[in-house]
Amino acid sequence: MVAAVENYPDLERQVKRLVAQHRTQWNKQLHLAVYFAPPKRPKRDVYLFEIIDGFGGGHVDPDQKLFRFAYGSTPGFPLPPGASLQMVVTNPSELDEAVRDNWKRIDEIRAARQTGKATVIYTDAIGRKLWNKIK
Amino acid sequence: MRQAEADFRTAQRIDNDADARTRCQAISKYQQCVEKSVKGVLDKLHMARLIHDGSDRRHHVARYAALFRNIPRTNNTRDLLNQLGRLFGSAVVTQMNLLDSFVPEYPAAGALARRNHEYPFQVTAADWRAPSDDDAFSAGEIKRIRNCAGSLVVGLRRILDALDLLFP
Repeated sequence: MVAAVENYPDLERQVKRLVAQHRTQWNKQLHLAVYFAPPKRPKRDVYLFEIIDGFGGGHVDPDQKLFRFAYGSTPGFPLPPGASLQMVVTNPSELDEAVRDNWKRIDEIRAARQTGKATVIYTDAIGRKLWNKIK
Repeated sequence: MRQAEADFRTAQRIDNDADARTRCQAISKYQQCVEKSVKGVLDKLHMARLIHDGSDRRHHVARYAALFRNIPRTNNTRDLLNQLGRLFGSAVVTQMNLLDSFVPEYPAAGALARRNHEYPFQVTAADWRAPSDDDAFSAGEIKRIRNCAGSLVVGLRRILDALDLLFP
């Protein structure tokens, strides 16, 4: 059984490396990357929230859910056994709607921010404005 | 995948409920959209070494739905692959099969030219029709095809972008 040892913010250096790869890959489309820890979660998992221009083709989810996926260790982001990378990824248009209509997964990010468990790894001017909407 | 999205946008521009003669052209673009979306994700999964083979030259893509639903999962991959598999419910697969059936192909020797979105086809040996005839494709068929392309182009783009983030 995997012990529920909290690892936030111990993996910040690895998360920074991953975000640097994403910046290279998406050029100037990555506006914000936040390493965070929502209150209710598998404590070994690593959570990363990113806002990328054009992600998902720039579509807004009709079911009002931010896209989240989990994935285990990869060559580019090795993780301890039993841990997953949980990514929440959106685009600026969708984020605007999510904040305006208070989508469910925005709550988690906001709660993490309010409890001091959200670290901005990268932001540009657009990302800063968007991040300030999630308070 | 960007080209698949361009195909979808073009299909939407052509697709005119008030003019049934547009259906063959719209179906052609919806078919291209679905084929490219499916093959884009398939090839990305292959590059990430999650599946053995990538896409081939055949235009028919409903055959890949079963593959997407049955890629062996591990604890590492389960969540994303389940999200991928859920895109290919039975209704979507039925619609993909319908789209595949409209891909133009040379008829076998002695066989009638099958209904397709590109070339004249035969109802009987002497009865040739054009895909742009206003009764060549029904309103129900174009509606199902539109739904299929719309759901796949959005869902598969997200999955592809997610894979790009994991396997830069």
